[in-house]
Amino acid sequence: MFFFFYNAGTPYSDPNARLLKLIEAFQERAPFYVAKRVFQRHQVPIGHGWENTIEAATGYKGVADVDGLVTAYLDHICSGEKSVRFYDLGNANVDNLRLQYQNFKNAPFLPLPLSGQQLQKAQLCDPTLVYVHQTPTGIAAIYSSVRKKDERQRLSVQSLPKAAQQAIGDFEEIIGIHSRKVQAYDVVWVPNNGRIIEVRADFLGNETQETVTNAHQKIYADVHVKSGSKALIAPVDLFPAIKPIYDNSNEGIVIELAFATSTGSTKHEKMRDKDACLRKEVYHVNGKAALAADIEPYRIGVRWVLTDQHGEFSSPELFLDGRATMAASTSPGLFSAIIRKCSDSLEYSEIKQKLESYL
Amino acid sequence: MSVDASEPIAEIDRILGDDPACDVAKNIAKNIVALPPSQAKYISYSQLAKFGHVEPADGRLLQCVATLTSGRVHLLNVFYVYENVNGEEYKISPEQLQEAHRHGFLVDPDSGEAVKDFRKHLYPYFERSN
Repeated sequence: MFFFFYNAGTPYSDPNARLLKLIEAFQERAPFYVAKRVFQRHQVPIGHGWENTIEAATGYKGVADVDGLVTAYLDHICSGEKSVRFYDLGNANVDNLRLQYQNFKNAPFLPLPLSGQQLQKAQLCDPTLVYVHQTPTGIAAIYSSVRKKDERQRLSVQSLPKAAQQAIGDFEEIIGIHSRKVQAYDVVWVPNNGRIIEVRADFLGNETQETVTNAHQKIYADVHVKSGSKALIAPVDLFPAIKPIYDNSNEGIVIELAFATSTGSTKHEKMRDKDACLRKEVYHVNGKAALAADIEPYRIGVRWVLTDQHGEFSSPELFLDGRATMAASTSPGLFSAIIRKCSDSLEYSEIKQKLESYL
Repeated sequence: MSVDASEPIAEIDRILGDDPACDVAKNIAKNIVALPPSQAKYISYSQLAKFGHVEPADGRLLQCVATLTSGRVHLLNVFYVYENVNGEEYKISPEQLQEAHRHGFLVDPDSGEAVKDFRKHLYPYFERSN
């Protein structure tokens, strides 16, 4: 068993220990700027980077809203940094699935992730249902797994022993691949109403596509069994949403676009200035204008600037990463969307609804 | 729409006078003011060299940059782009840069990790100031 529970008698019954554990848990899964927004809402001291934030929270005498942070963490598990697939299960199957999750015997407390040596010693494992979170609008069934991810790290040659420095020769810097384990939380979202469910696999960056696809497949296999479905159901094809999102100039800021042209080329364009929209960029506009036939977008990244109830800005992003040949297919089969940088489920829902409106 | 070159060029003349960098600075200024606003937002150091008809390593170019970004001419603003180990770019605000100098490390905006050798991974870019 690799979960911690913060009931009485555990190290996490102390609020400061709990605060530090939660900061560490956010560090494992949220981009720093997203975590900062969450911390601000819950009066958590924020330092210059993770290291200084942990230092600031150690022995913190102020009043951080630790319980609120637990809820925010659960919310982030359900809606932060996700690769999403939609399945139209049909009414009967969704009812069965809902019932199965409602009957799941929950642990009494929110499981917190392993970290440090315990995580590195844990076996790699497939997603397992660990917690069912009932919300006013639906059920989030949380699956946990230990996965591997490779992180690129810069190593200073000066930090190496003399003999190694001599062997390496005339290099100032080395890029190393740090392969390490992470505890991932994938979620099946079953709304109270409707027959379309979502599988939201963790997409924390640096995982391979195979790892995320494997998580999707393993979770769908469990959904298939629990729903009692007689047939295998394919995820909803998201490719048809790409072109209409691009064509709607009022829809967010296009930060990335790949498209094919009738001249036999493909182009992959990105905006370096994240506040400027590619749709209006001079090179893009004039390149398009020089063509007699329409471009065929097959990959898009869109960023929205949202304002929350406290007047704070956020900028969640949606990526639909198709391939050029999909534009030539009658059944393209783009099954996953990436929804990133959401600090809570409200932001996630807003982006999801935008995507759904184009399907 | 481009902006009027006469005022910055007169100021460059007043500052640099007979200095060999003067003509280089004026060439850069003429090219910068001719750019439409949407194309004057992300100008690299090597682009400035092309505008000035000099090599990027030419010592006059540094002097030109200092003049064109100075309060008196104020034709260009400098900003910095940080490139992380995965090749992702982040525009660094002056506040972030100030914090980085104060603490001795830049915080990678995505990972939140400390980047102690941040100066090696910052790239200067220029935008027209008006």
